Amino acid sequence: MVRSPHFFTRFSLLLALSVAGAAMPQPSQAAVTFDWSGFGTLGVGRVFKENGYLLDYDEEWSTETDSTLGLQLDVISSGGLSFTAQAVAAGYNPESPERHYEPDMKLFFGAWQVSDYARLRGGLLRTPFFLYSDSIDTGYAYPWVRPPIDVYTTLSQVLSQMEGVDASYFQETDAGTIEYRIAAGKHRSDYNIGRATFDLDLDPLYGIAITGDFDTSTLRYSFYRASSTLVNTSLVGVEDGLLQLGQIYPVFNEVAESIGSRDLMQSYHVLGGQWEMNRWTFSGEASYIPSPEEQLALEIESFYVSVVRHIGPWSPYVVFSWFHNQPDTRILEKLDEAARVDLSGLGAVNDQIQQFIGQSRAALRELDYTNRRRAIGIRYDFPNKCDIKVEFEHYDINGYRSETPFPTTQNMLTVVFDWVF
Amino acid sequence: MVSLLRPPMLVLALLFGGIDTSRAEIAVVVHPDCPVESLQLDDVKRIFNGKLRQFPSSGILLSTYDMPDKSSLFSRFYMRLYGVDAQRMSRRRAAYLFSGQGSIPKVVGDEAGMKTAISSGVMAIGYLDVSAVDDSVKVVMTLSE
Repeated sequence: MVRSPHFFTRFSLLLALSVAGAAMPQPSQAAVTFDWSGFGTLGVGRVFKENGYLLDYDEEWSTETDSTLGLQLDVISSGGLSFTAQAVAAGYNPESPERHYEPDMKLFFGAWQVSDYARLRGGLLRTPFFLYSDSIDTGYAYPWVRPPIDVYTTLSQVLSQMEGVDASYFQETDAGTIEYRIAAGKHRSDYNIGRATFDLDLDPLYGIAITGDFDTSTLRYSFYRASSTLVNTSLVGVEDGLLQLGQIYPVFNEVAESIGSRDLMQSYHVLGGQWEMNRWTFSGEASYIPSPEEQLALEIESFYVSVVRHIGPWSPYVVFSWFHNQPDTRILEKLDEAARVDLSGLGAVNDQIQQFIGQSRAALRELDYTNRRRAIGIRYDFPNKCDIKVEFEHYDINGYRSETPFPTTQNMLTVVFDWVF
Repeated sequence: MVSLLRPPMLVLALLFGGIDTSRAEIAVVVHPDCPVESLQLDDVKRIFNGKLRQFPSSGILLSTYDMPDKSSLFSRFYMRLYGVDAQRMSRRRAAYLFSGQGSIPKVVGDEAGMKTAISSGVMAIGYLDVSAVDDSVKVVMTLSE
């Protein structure tokens, strides 16, 4: 999530525009129109495991994790210019769990429809990695309670937004429309992984998403590159100490490099598709973030497949998803090498270094895990653009706790009510 | 016994109008003064999914109008146009609107409301059951179901 110190500035501008728009006379052929719309989700869920915890759900029923309220203003002029602002208040914010229902600006951009085949946008945009990245907060827009978290969490929640520009070109073919969307900008956020807090900067972030929209199917590939700076805020002082040791023992320089990343080029690949055949919808996506094999390097792979059956207003579905996060083993080798350096002459510093190495090994081990998830659910569509969904999920998680293999399972039940207006 | 009865029953049904062989039709309509005389199916598809924002070869920016998603005409129109039911069409609309990709058709209350919307100007486009078409609109395309 992009931090919004400018939220109140943007929100004030939004409010001013809407008041001005409401005060203006609105003839049937107004040159400028102001359209308000919104969406919401009220969700309740829990996990079924003693001391279980997933997505801020635990053994007690909770309504925060999946509850959201969004408001959007579209200002459209007859000259092809438009402005869009969208604010969302969510009960659960994965980057800042203490912020419940604090509104965040999710979209804030100006657009120019150059022609029917080309569009430019600039401002606060969504990073378009996945099929549902652009409407990730609108529960009504997708068939499940939430897009598969194994696949969507890393890229579509953590890197959900960017400040920049994008240009879309639409190519008409006999089979359908192909959109080429090129985007460039930057992203900044801070979030938690396990016990660590990270500041993340992607600057620049650039790439292309190619989407083919055919009669009954959609196919999409996105490729992005970013210069990534990831700082573990709780280890900044430790890093300085390691670099000082590194002047004598070079292995500590490599350890210092591995507790974060600076200007590290990362690539993000996502391939996805959806096929509607009569009363069935088949969809699936796969993402791959290759390890750059330097600094704090992770390799992340994930995919999901989903089948939805449409029976009047009922849409039962099943989802299978898988996620694997793999830290670079080179880092563990460097930590082992650093642990063998004889620093006994440094007294308490040696104890601190050994403690740091032990904690780092444990933290890295905890980054090495695999999720397998199976979900079954059903959606019922009411008239007037609202729905109710019930989903049961089963997770198998193979990970580590303090360097010890720690397989675990979690079961979760969620009920949500979505609406748009 | 049954096979001997079938032909007479068929004749009776035909005589008393028991078999309806007509196909319902939906008309895509514009303002009578709109310079566009006809539209192709691909153009209509692109107009109603937001990909075409002006009438082909005219430069007139479109104002697109929709029926309520609970109306049978909405269901019939989009089933014919894209092969999707009303629920999936509503979902697509929401995904499109809240992704910031563009605006969606304005919703009118009923067929009378659609005619009122079409009368607002030459940029308006919507759809009606063929039986509701009158001089207040011009038909640029007909979809057979």
